[in-house]
Amino acid sequence: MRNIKTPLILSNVEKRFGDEDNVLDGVNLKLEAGSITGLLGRNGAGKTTLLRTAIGLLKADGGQSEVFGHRAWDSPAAVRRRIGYVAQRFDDMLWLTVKDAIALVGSFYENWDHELVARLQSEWNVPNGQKIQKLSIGQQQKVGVLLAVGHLPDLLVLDEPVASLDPVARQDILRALLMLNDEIGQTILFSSHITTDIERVAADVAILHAGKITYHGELDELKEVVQCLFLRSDTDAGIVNSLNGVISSRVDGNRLQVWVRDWDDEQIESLNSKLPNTVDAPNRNGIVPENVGLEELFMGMTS
Amino acid sequence: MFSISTNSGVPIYRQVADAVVRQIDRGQLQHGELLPSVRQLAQELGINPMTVSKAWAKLESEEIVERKRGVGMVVIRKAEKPEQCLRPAIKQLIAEAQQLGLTSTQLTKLIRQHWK
Repeated sequence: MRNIKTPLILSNVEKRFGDEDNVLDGVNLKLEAGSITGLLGRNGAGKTTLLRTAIGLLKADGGQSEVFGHRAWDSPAAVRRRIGYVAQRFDDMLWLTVKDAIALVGSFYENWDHELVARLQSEWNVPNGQKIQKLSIGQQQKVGVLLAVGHLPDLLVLDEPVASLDPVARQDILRALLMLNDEIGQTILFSSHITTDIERVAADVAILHAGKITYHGELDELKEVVQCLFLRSDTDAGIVNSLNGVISSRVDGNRLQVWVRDWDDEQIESLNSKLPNTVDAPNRNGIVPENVGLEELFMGMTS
Repeated sequence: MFSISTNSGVPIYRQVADAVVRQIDRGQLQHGELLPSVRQLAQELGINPMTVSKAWAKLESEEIVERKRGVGMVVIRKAEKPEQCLRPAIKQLIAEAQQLGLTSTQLTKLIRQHWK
């Protein structure tokens, strides 16, 4: 059955380039209408490939991506018009002035919202008469966003929209995303490696690691479900890693940091019983899983 | 009035809810006063409105505020006694002392030393 209300569904999507290993190795992801999702992944994890395959700019080698109930790769124009895409680096129409570029792209769409585009343009101080190639990278990026949102797409996909921007410009764009989501109800998917940006804006996160989505859900829930234990660095990592619910561990200075999922007293007991009971062993009452920020969660879940 | 720390282990919705409770306890928000609207606060802080809704829902379920139709969220809880306010900080202090292997006598002694 066609799911015309769901903006995006990726089912077992695979993508490789040439003879290389799969960049995407069975990606599953479903976005609810009106959600804002931050896609997190390390450099080279395949975030760009995922976003481009998701909306049909690349053809999946296996599995399928569906946009509003249509296969993304060969979806009809009416479906494509419901998508807005901002590439990582805006390098289109560099020879045009901002005004001409907006007029050109706007002319493709009957529903182009001149008022919205003008409003954002003036809030962001993007000059009309300037050639795009003369603008700073941050300004060019803003032009990219203006051109992607004027037709009021129902699904807006942005590839590292703020990575190269200073904090003020970042806030400008992120606030615009919140506004578009709030006023128009746009579903937004954006990739970033700046966790603090994701934290403010995205209610949901998806983590891409080793070709798969290893977590997709509410950011708040992730923060409550995944926690860290800090043990002495001479603790036997082999014992720790063999326990249920241990995601990963690493030695950080004089402690062993362990990422755990869904841990309760039972697991702590089981860890306590396996560690040697010497004076130097961690205090039995002292092993308490701690909540950590998204950046630390991200490190643990992508190593 | 509110400050948000990204990259904290505390979810933002809880930070917002905790900030309201603190303001009530300090007398900055009085019984009967209105909380800002979801949209207003989300815009002010530059955060997702869902996060603010969630914070308001948490406060509602804890009977700290009450949803009044067409009006908004109204504070219904009165400020806690000072000893109540300190409870979370004390709990955390005790937990840390235990991690370091201190006894309660040693901890109280330490507190007394620092009390000037």
